[in-house]
Amino acid sequence: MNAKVETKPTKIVGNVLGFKNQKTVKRATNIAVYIILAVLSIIWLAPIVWLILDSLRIESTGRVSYFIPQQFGFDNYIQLFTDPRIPYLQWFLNTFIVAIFTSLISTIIVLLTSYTFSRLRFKGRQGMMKLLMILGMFPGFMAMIAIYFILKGIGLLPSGSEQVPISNYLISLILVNSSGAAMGYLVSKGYFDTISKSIDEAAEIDGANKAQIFFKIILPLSKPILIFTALTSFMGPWGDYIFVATITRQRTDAWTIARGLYNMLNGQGMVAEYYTMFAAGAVLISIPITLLFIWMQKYYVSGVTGGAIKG
Amino acid sequence: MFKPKSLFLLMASLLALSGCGDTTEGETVRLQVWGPAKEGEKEVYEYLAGKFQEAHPEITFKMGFGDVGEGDAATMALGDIDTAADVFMFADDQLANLVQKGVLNALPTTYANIVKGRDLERCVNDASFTKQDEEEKVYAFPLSSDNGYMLVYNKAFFTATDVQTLEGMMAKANKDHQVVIDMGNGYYSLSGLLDYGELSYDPYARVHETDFDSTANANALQGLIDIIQPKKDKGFKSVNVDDIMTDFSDANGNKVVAAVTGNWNVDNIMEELGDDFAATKLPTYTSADSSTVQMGSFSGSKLVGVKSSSLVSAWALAFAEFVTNEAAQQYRFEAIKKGPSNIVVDGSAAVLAEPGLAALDAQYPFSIPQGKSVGESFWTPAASVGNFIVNGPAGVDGPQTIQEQLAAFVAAVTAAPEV
Amino acid sequence: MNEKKTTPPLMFPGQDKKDFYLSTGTGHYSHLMSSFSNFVIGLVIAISMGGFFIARLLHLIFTSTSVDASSQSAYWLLIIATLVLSAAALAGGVLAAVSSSSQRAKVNREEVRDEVLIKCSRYQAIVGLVNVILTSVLLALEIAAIIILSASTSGAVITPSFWWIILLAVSVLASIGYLIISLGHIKAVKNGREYYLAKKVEPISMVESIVIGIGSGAKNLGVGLFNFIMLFIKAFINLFVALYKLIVKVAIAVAKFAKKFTMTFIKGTYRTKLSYFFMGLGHALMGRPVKTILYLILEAGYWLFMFLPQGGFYWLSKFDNLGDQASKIVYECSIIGMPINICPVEDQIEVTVFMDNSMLITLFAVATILLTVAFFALYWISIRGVVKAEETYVEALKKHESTDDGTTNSATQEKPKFKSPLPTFKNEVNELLNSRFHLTTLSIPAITITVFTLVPLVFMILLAFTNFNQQNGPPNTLFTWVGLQTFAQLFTSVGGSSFSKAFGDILGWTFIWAFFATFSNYILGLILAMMINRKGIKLKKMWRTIFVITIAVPQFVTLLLMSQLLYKYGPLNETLLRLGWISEYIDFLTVPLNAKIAVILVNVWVGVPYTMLITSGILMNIPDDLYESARIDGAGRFTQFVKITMPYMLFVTGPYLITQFIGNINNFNVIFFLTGGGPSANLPGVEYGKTDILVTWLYRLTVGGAQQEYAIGSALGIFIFLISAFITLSLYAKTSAATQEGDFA
Repeated sequence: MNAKVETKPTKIVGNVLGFKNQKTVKRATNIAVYIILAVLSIIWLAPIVWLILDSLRIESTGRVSYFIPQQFGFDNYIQLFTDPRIPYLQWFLNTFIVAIFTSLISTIIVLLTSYTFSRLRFKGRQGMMKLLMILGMFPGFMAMIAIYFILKGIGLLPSGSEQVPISNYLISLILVNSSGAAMGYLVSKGYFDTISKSIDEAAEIDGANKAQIFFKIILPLSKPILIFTALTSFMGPWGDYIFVATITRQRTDAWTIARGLYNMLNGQGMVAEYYTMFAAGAVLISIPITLLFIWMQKYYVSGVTGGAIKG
Repeated sequence: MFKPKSLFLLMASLLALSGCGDTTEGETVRLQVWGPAKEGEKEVYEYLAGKFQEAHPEITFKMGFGDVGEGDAATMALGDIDTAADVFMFADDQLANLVQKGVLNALPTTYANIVKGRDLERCVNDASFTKQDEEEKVYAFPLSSDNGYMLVYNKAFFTATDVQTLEGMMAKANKDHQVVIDMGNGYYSLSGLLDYGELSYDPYARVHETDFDSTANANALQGLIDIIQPKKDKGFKSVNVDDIMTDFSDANGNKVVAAVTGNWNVDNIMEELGDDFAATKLPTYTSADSSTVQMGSFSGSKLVGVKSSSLVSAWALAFAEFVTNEAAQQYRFEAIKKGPSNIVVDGSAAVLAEPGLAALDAQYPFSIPQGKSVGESFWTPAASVGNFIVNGPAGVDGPQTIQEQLAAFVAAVTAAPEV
Repeated sequence: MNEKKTTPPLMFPGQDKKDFYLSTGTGHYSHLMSSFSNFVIGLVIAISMGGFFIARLLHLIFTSTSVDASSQSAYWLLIIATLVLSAAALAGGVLAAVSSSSQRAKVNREEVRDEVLIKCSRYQAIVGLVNVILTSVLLALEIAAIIILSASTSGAVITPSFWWIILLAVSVLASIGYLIISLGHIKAVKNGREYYLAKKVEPISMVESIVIGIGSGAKNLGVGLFNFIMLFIKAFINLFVALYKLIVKVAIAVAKFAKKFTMTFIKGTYRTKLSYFFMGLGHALMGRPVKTILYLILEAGYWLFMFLPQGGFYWLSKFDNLGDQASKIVYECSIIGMPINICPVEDQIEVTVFMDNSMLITLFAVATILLTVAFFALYWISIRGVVKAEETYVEALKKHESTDDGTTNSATQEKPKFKSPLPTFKNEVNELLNSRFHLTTLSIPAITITVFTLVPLVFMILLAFTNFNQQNGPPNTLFTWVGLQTFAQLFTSVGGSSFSKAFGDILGWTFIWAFFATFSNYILGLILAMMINRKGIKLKKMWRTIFVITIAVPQFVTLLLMSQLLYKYGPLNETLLRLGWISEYIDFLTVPLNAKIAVILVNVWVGVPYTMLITSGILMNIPDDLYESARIDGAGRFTQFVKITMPYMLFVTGPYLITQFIGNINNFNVIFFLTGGGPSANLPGVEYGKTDILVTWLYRLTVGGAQQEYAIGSALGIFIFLISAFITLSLYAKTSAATQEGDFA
């Protein structure tokens, strides 16, 4: 007897609950999903909204145990720029300078390093890659103290009672933040690996040297990873407070935003007076970063997935 | 250091500032000062610095002010002694640490005598330390005497009699009008025993000596538990006073009607309470064996210290002495209402009229000096006892009775530290 | 036929059962694999459960808790039973494998195929039956043991702590799951035989497909888990082997180098010999002065640095015992202007002059040593450069001299000029941009990384071998080398130290935290991304932007906000109380278990937007035809997710997951800003909290608190590094090969 292997006609599966009507099921699930998304959005945005509300609260300046202020006003924002003890604008400027230069220098270093590891072959390449990958894994607290004294030895930081200009502190921060940039080569290298090597070869035949190949050919092709690297290294200094505290110690006018905001909450006797200003300050710096991040979303994704997804 | 340039600079400035030379006219002296910038201290400092310059017109002083709170001064100085300020303000519980780490040296005898002559005895004690195999010496200049705590209350709600006993206060307090003591903070948590029991600290062995686990003391805390626990969150709230300051006001319904706090909060609370503000010493309570126990507290002073390795020691001492002398203290009191350490100023009518300072004075007989009584290992175990008093046992694994909890506390604070 | 496949094909409603049974139930190759893996999994489960009880017993014995007789006997019974059953399982598996392989050869012969397949199916049925019996017995024993132990009178035998509940739950679930698989397996095999013999065809039902799907999924999970553990064990062993090989290699290399160094000098020409003392001098003697000047500047700089007061040699000289005298007292006069010799005693100021600072000695000595190593490398390169250049130069010179006769220019009576074959300086610069581009690009990062990362790193490692803490440290006391004493303090209870207990506690929680944090974020982010990605949902960009906003606010701000929110008397509690949802305040952050859960949940809040973004991007890139073909084959939503989406996601985000796991082990921010380490553990002598992970504890031991236990902190830091590096290197090797393949399907 011949086995009649009959394959059933194709059926679109979707009637999990046995409903006859496909469309109803689809619509019902969609509505459920919408509701869930809405609830989740509320949960996620609630603290941010609370932060904004707190920054608009003017009936008291400390911590309170309710969410919605009784009186609204912009006093906190105004005070942020006029209080002599809170040089907010100076902090913002400091952080901005550090971030821009860090971003610039880090990007150049990282891209050059990744390109080198991706394209060039030389003795010790494998060893160096592994070393760089794990070098960054030491928890850095003791290192911060060491770096402080190294910077002091170089002369960037004061070693007695004399005062150095703020730029010294900023240079120190930029220097240290960019110094380790090469250790983050992994993502960019992955990206460069996906660019075909035949482009390089063609250019070499035309007589270009490696430096020219990098700057004139590879770099224009690497817009996503360039933006990703620049973006992530730009955002770093805005949130780093521990290292800044170690370097700048008590020089209030050399602080960055993160250090200043932290002090508003944890400085001696500060919180009762400065909590709402803290909220205002936090809101003010979140706005540009948020805009930047939204704009760069797709580059961020592309970067993290190592270029597996282009754009 | 590596860079030759900074080395030469250092040597040059050393030569210029060497104290064992002669000071010629038109010389510049660079002094670095640390103090908290908030609460008006910076303005006081600037005024005094100006006056100091006037007093010495032949020298140009370049004085820098760094915003370092009293609690942070020691850590900051120890972090890098080279860049520490020549003159800095600190809280007296850091004295032992600073002396033992060599940041502070004993004052020259002349200065020590000045301090002993003009400042309150308890402040002089707070500024003194006995190094091993030496006699007691003064190591810093007292600045203020009000680093302790007392009871602040709403006198429209409590009468003067009510606040004399804890039971009286609890009888009136309820869910909408609470009494606040931050039992989760080791600073306040053992106030029930600070007067009743014994507690002292040996800074050399770094262990405490205490009898807090005795039956009498356990009974005392049991009495406290019996008063507080039934009223937990329904009359008694254990929370940081900073967080509930606005709850004092009428606008917020007087949700808080009394709190144990120090002079640093008095201004803020006065703002909230207005005329209803009152302050007094801490109340008494009844122990489980029916004896009356007075709640104790810590007392302390703010001190001005001179860095031991300062390059301008003579001028630093002169400046430190200047900002703590009678005129300076008078000015300081008038400007920011801090409790002075100067005997004359402290006895003046204006000071006696300050409710916060008067309350601290009244509480003083029942307080122990913080710098001499507790060390680092005190705070966490003390907080655990406080939590036990308010919440009961923390879990099935931990101490189940107050006796056990106190035994654990004593074990922790008398344990020899890790070497 | 499907017999070659080692994994069961997709099971969709409507598919031909016969094919399925053939491939999994009776196909000879898959029979081999499936029976063997069945037993291996059974073995793994048995051992893990036995191991659980063994561990518990050992723990009790070593912490000298008294265990009553009935509990002890329960434990021993379980252990013996587990071991016996495991042995039986293993033996059975081996037997089945051997017997079926003996049949293997015959299956290709058409005439005996039916017979062979039926025999194999019989073996399979026995396998399934034995599995069922084993697992049922094991399960019964577990339950009996639990009942006995929880009724036991010695209270601390089974306390519901986090660890044991999880382990126990996993064991029981695994047993039950395995039971289901085995039952399903028997039925499958039996039916397969029938269908094969009767040549009947019948579609499979939805329920069956789910059961079999779950079953095979669980089985795959088990195999995967087993492989995973084996990977680590292998990597661990490999680590020591590799370390040993490395040390040997280094020793040999050093010896060889020393020999080469001396031989080059001895055998070298005068140029080479001179270059040993004046770096690069040989180049000047060959017509390339610029290179020499550069090298000489370097050499001068180095020696200047070493001999300067407070330069290299100064620090090295103090390196052996880290300082002799920390401070001294000098006297000054407090009366302004009076010299000290006429100053009255009561006006004399004791001024401290700080001298040796052990920390700075360590740091700068390390810097000097590293600098010397770098300089020495350059030095050796310069010598080699001279030697190599000399070879070509001398050869060319010889050639020039030997062709000299007969080519004199008759007009000027001059010999033609000797052209050096060596590249000019300009050429060398060009080379740096081309064949030696790597030198240019890597030089600056190398310098900055050495100064700002390597030096502090070595400094930190060395500190772990000292006794640097509050009592022994600057400014007025010295610390010194103590060898491995600090490590002993941290890892063992030597000398009554309680650091080790704190360490053990914190280590355990660190791994639990890292695991939950990573996977909760990943899965929830994936689900969120899938929801937003659904075909019917509009405004995708808006939804995504909403979640992205939470990333933009700096982390420490949001975390401080969260700690505010969850404060016992904070707004959340107050609002809930006022709304009447709770009757008294909830202790979010002060009860250990609550704090732990709170930390994980807050981390979800912080991290899901990130993972959502990433998984979103990847989801959008999964080729649609994969889904189409699956749908045509009749796959349901769940099956599609399990068979297409998950594997693709795991493939692409594999490295990301690893980085996240390591990152969470070191995730300082979330825990520090939220709970500061959490409710204190109240261990006398050592301060740590219940939500402390290794890094936050490290912070509190060193920079953050008053303890200043720097030596212990450094030892801890080294340990953290070893864990992170180990996990990264072993997992990365496995996945990087995959990622370099580029194409998934």
